[in-house]
Amino acid sequence: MISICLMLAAEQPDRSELSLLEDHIEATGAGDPEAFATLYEKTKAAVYGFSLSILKHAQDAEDVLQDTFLHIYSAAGKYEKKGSPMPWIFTIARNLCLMRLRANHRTEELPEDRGEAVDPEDTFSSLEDRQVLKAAMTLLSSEERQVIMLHAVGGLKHREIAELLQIPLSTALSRYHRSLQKMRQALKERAAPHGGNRPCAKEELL
Amino acid sequence: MKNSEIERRLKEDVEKSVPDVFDSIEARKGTVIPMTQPKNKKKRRTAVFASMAAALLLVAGGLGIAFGSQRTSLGAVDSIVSLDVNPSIELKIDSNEKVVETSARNEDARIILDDMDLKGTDLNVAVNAVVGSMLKHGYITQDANSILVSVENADSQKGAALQKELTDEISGILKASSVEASVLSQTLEEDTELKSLAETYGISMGKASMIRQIMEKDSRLTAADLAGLTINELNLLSSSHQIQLDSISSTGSASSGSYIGVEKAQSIALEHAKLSAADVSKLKTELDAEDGIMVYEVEFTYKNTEYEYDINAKSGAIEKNKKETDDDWQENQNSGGSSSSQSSQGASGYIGLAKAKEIALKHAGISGNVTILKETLDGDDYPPVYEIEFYKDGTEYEYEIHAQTGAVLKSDREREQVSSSASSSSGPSIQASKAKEIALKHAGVSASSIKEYKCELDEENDRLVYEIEFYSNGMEYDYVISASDGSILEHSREQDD
Repeated sequence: MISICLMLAAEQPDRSELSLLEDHIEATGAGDPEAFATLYEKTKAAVYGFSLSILKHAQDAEDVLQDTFLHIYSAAGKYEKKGSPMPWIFTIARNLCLMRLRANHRTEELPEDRGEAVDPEDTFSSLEDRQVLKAAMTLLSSEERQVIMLHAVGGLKHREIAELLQIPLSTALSRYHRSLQKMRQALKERAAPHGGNRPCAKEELL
Repeated sequence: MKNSEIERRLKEDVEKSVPDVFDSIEARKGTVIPMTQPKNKKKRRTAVFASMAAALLLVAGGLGIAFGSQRTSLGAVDSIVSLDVNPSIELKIDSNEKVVETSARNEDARIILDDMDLKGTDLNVAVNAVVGSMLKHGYITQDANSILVSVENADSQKGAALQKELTDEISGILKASSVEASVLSQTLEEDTELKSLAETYGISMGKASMIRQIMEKDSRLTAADLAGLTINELNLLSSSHQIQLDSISSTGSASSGSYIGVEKAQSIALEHAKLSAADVSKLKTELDAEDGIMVYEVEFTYKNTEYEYDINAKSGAIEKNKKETDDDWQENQNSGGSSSSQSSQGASGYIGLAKAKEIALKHAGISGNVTILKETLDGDDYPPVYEIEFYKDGTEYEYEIHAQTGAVLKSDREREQVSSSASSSSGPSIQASKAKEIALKHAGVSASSIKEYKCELDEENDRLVYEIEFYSNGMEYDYVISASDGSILEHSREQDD
């Protein structure tokens, strides 16, 4: 993989960024508070976005954001470098989200998880200036949202997304395309409410 | 709005929304966040295990310290022993069977090793400590009793002796904790293909070897399906599919105690179909892995309708159900509601499956016999689509056909992965510029007409590929091109509106 990284260095500036993040984790493990703060700054949006996409609940996602970094802080010393730390960070966040979903499930004894009890339209109606996030929260299924969030905000490749979510690559790709399609449609309608788009405007000509 | 624009704005929106919790994190530093919860642990049994394992750990810990002072005598690495349950732990040992290095291969393994310092301890002490910790944390129980031991040693005879020794040792430890274990063991040889499989999925060589053997015997199972399973699940899957793992010896049999069982799975499926066992024929049930979860695949026929269910092996939830009557069938991804039953019969002018298949085949330019992999109606979204996947001559085709107009909304083709002719370590043999040329030529567009060209070298199923993306004349193109021979493995094109 090292040779690959070098070869694509010109096209892939974020790869060196990723190994820099690994250095921050290593330094955090060695007790460098600056490195931990930098790591937090650089990855908080990705962790929060991903948690939000699973939990669909701002307060829960905020809690998971905290817990994820606490876990990173205590486990940093045992982290082994492998090119990109993002899959590791997302695995931690995902486990914490799933634990929270299970816990919510147990305490409320409701057949559906809490995401359904809270109307996402209410939770995210204050997001008038954040149309794209609002669209992602309200239009997409949790599975679709996770994929798009990991790609757009987390910077993961489709293969890494498939591994993290334990789904076949083809499933990850089709969720990704479907999400973008839905969002594109919705955002277009919003921009031109009387535009009269055909609902099935997409025809493939290959 | 372009896809890249949507992604960029989503990122911005999230960045604007992140609450600042850094100060709270600083204040809570040092708080230990408990992570992976062992699944399905039985309270009473675990309590017994915990006390036993704690005793084992104490012994190991004590010895560890004692041996710690003799570290200077450690030799070079002679063998590598890996222990897989779900936690995956690798122990490198010298010729005196003393541990030189311990490494955790996954998150669960980090929990198991915690702060244990096993360096310098005898192998059997280290194995005791690791297995004890797995018992204590609920990874090995009466209901999930499989452990895989893999030994790598240049001398195969020595490796085999070590394999035997460890199998006996581990069976003994588990027996003492009242677990009838199933110990799987193997010796591994230098194998670059295996190594790249292990690296691709972030699993141990031992588990990769087990997965590869299962895939060789049952081509329906993929590495992606299997890599996320525990050793006990893989063990159960092999026995359910009657797969003999030739190079793995095993003792005991995998426990399915945490599963609902075949009969229960059948009754859940029948109840959902509102049928009784006496009504149906060709009732067949098999344990299977779907998207990384264990399911019972229940199939039966009633009159001229075939039913197919995937029942979650642990919870009994219906993960997927499908019903097919000649040309008329339906599938519901079970997203938690019973309201999803939809009638495809005569529904608002649907073209029907047969017609949709015809369109897809014509579009793909093939005729004659194809193997249908999937044919479902997805009416959850608008527009409703027929999802059709089929296989012919080493290529998998995936289509989405508009259920009312018959328009091809999506087409994808993927050539089957030939077992790695290109080892990832050898680097790409064709240049990125060549791959670009291939993609453009295939798309029939000129280099000057494209925008936002992106090319990424990536590893996919053990082989190096270029992932290429670009826009031209209002269309978005995606290509996956083999970096070893320039063949097009996947491509798709869709309207960029």
